[in-house]
Amino acid sequence: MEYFSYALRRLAAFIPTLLVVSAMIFFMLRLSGVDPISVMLGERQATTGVIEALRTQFHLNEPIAVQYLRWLLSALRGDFGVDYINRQNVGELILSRTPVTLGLVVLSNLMGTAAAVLFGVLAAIRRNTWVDQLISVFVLFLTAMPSFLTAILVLMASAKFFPFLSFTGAFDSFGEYAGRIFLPSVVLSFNMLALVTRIVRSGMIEQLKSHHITTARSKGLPGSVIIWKHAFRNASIPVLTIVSIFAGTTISGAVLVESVFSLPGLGGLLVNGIKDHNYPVVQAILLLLVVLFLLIGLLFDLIYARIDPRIRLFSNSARIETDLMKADLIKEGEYA
Amino acid sequence: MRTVQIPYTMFSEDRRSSQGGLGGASEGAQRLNELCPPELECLLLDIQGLRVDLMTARGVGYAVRGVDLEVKPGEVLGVVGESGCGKSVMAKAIVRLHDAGRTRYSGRILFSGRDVFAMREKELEAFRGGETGMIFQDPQSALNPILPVGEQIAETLRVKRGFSWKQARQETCELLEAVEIFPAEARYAQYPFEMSGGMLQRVMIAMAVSCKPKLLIADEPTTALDVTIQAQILDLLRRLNRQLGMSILLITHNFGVVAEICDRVAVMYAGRVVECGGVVDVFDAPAHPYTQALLNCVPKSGGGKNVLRSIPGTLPDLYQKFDQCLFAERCPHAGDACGAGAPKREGRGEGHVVYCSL
Repeated sequence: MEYFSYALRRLAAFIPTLLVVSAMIFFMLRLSGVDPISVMLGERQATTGVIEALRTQFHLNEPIAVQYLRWLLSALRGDFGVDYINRQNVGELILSRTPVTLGLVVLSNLMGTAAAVLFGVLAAIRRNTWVDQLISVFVLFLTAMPSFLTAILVLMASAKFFPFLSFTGAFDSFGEYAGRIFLPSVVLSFNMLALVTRIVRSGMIEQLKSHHITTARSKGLPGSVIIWKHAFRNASIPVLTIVSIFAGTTISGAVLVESVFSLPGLGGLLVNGIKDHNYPVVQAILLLLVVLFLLIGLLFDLIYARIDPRIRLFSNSARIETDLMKADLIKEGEYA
Repeated sequence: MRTVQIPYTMFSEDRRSSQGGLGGASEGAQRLNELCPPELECLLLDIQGLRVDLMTARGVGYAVRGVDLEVKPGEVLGVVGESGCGKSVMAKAIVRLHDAGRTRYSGRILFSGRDVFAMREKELEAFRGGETGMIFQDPQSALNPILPVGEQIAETLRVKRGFSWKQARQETCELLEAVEIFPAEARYAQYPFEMSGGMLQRVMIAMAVSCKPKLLIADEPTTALDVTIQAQILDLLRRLNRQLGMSILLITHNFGVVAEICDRVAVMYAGRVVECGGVVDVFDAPAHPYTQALLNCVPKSGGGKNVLRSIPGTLPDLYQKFDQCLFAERCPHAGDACGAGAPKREGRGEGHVVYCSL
């Protein structure tokens, strides 16, 4: 229950953030000074009557603040308007492109974290041996490679060794979807590998030296319980911080990798939207990315609170007090 | 202090025998009975010529330099000495708790006749926690900060005795009550940062005795606690010793603690035992100059405003190998014999030995 209210309070804190961000997105795009009408018309010629009609249809003749409020209110209802060029519904357009980007972000973070945890724990247990050194050289190499280069190399290698499989382009089934996002996710996960591995390793080394691990060993717990339940769980708190920061940056990384693998994701849509001054598309995608970023942050904060009771309990000190009072009452009643 | 009737039924004999499902412990008990019949006096722990060398960045530290010690079933043996004399290192060596890659053990440690240094990893796991329990100086850091204290006890019961979570929880609550933590149910779910030092040390004790070990190794259990809590913890240890028949190896630098609960005492200096015997014998007639000097340093009440006394000089270099008496350079009685060879072992009455060349 305390957990649920914590999550609700965090969600409520999103409202002002989103207001500020949405205003910034809207007004800064308009600062570019490109008239939406010229975007809509492109190379075509038009009479003033047509132009006036378009202005009225897209509410461009209203003051800019009113335009913003109109956009914001319809966005809250899930209506992101129609794009300037093809007159497609922006909400539907984005929805069709979201699975690829979201899949890339989620899968690459999961794989990157899992690999980093395995490498880091292994390096910590075998510290200062050849295993440790091999791991650190390997992950450093992967991270040092720019992701567009790794993406191209991985693509070339997979085309050479698995010519019968296709890794790029559009997809029809879920199986194809999974096949499409797997390789780019691997590439994207390299970004975080070295740093997270290092954080896991140093955190584990510190934990393994700590007194409570000596206690756990003196209790005769098996090695796996000591490593995962007692050392890793405690060491995972700084790891979460780093991963939550990286999770945000993978959103922008995904855009790059999508274009190399020519996947139909939000990246391509966003880049084209900016190039064409297609404001409704750009506004909607940016807003979505910000929401995604905030949600990732919230998710990690909830995991934090789950792992470390001190965060959970001290965020709601009233609960502790009532519980202790309850404990005192029980004590008086039963044992006095 | 509240006076409470403590449900010690859980430690009664019939219950112990009915729950003999503890692989290592019952096996050990059986072997103990085979090796030495109960009518003969025998040893629970027999340390013979133990040396512990620690590989550090500065070189090899000779922390324990040949220790002979014995613990009989049911007795409380105190080990005293100043900081850095190797008493804690020795205590950890009994269950091979040192980092295997950086520690060199030699000599023998026999526990109920079994050689600890010959144990395989699995055997050692069963031995730790099952036949020995350990408590440490600072309970605040000795417990996992992000697990409820009850769970830390219960997990031991699950791993060592195969309990389900439900059984383990119930047993844990009984253990908490046995160490006078009330209300056990509410305390079970609390985290270490929600409890006081004395309370946490009780939790540690409950954890260490949860599998009914034959030996409790207490490494300065009261050093980090204030004096009234100290007395309560010592009281609790003594009672567990009596009721469970559990031997205790108590590491301390406090003679008061030794006088309070120990049957025998060993005095350590620079990695060696210099004197060992019954508490009364050693206190009344200390035979080694170091013991005499140490006892002389204990402030006496009613002695007026005396200056606190200390022993001049410092401990010898930990990183150097020595053969001769290490106390000689600080010893007021040192003579030519002290520099030549290892100190002689000399018996002074029943069970009282002293290592001195004089």
